[in-house]
Amino acid sequence: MLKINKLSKNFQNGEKITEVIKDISFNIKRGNFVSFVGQSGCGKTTLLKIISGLIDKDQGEILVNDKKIFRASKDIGMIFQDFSLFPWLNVRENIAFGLRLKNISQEKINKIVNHYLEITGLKDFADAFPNSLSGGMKQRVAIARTLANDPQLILMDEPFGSLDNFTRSSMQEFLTNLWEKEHKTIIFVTHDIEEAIFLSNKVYLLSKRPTSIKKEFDVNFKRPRKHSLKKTKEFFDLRNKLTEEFL
Amino acid sequence: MQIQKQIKKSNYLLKGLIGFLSFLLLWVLLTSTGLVKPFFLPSPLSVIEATIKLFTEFNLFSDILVSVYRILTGFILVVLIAVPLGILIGVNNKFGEYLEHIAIFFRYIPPAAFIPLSILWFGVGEIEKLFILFISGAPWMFFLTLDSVRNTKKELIEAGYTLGASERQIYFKIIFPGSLPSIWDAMRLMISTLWTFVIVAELIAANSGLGHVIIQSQRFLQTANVIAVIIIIGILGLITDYLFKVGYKKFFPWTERVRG
Repeated sequence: MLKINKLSKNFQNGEKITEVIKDISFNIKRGNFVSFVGQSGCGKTTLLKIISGLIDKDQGEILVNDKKIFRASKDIGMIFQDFSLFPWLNVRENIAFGLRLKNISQEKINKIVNHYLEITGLKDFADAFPNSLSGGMKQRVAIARTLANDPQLILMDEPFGSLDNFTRSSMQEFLTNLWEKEHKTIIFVTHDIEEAIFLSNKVYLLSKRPTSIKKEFDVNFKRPRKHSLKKTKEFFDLRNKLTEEFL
Repeated sequence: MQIQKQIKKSNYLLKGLIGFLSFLLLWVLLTSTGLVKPFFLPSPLSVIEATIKLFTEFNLFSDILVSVYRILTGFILVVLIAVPLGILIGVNNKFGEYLEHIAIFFRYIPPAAFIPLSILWFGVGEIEKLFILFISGAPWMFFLTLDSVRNTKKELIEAGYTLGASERQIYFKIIFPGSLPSIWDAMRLMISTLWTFVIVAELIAANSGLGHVIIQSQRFLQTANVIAVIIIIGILGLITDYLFKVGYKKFFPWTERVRG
């Protein structure tokens, strides 16, 4: 469903030109969960923003369902590290934000929002403002907000990067469960190898700047995945293998 | 924000009260010991007497109403013109540079410098006062609004686009509601500026209003009256500020930090 062909991007700062992304190509099938792992500052966020249409590419081609992407739209949802919730809207209104932009009946909006409040376990917090929520809850609102919009592709930019370890683990399990139920196409960006393996069907390792794909690994652990998977020998071996490649 | 939260409310009030009381004590000490002559600084008691007299015999209440009316009309005019302009130029830089430079130019001219010109143009009536208030408030309000709009977090705008918002929807559903609290704060700042300049305008040329009462009292050497009016201005200022504070809490409950 997503085809990226020889994508390149440079940033210009005065006279100086920095190559951020160089000749990246990959394909992602519908309903797949794919992770990109790279070190901080390697251009992961830039890659996602280009795919989403928020910033322009310099060269290459991006096709979603064989259609070129010109600008950001609701078809490609994005989850940000800092949650990016609208602080003046309560949880329910945040989730409804994308739906309210279109001509959808209030009845239908309520139905969709209630569904995602239920799935994300936020029913009791529907009327709370984001500033009264914990980090994990905020990110669940952001995920619900994106899912409610029914995008064809979801991009996640280190979504659990600012959470504490405990919350992070439980959010990983939450996301896995969610994906196992809804089978959305997801691109997940992180610097945490373990997180990438746990969540994905496929992991791409990115090189330092200018970013290109260093190596790709299929992850075939069976689903549903539980947190105990991280303690198995197979998981441990794969993690070591990837870490070695990475360094 | 953080520090304010740490001060308990009762403490906060108490400290404010202690501040005022020690000020009063100093005043009593200075006047009762005869250190300062009553002509320059009358005792608190004679100021209270003067206040009562101003209200009962000289109808000070109508002067208060006149000044408050002037501030409110000036404030509304400033907000109605400067806030939309600030928002418009904050989101769309196309004609921003023309207006920005004019506004900077006016911002650096002390509004009081316009009073003679304003009298020449408009006489000493209400339009002259309104003009002075507008010229002292509008450039600041414009810039403060512009800043609030430009400070909208980029991430929120990006989130909006990926949720399918059009450019127009980004303005009305993200930038505008997001910058309202700081625009409200700017309005709070603005009204205190207008309090200053309404008095200045009235001191120089007016037939009514609190500034007028001050200058009349000075002419007749009634120092107690001057101080009484100054205190009344201070109290009115406190009330105005309190109303803005309450309004902030009521309109923007989402800005308050409830937990962690």
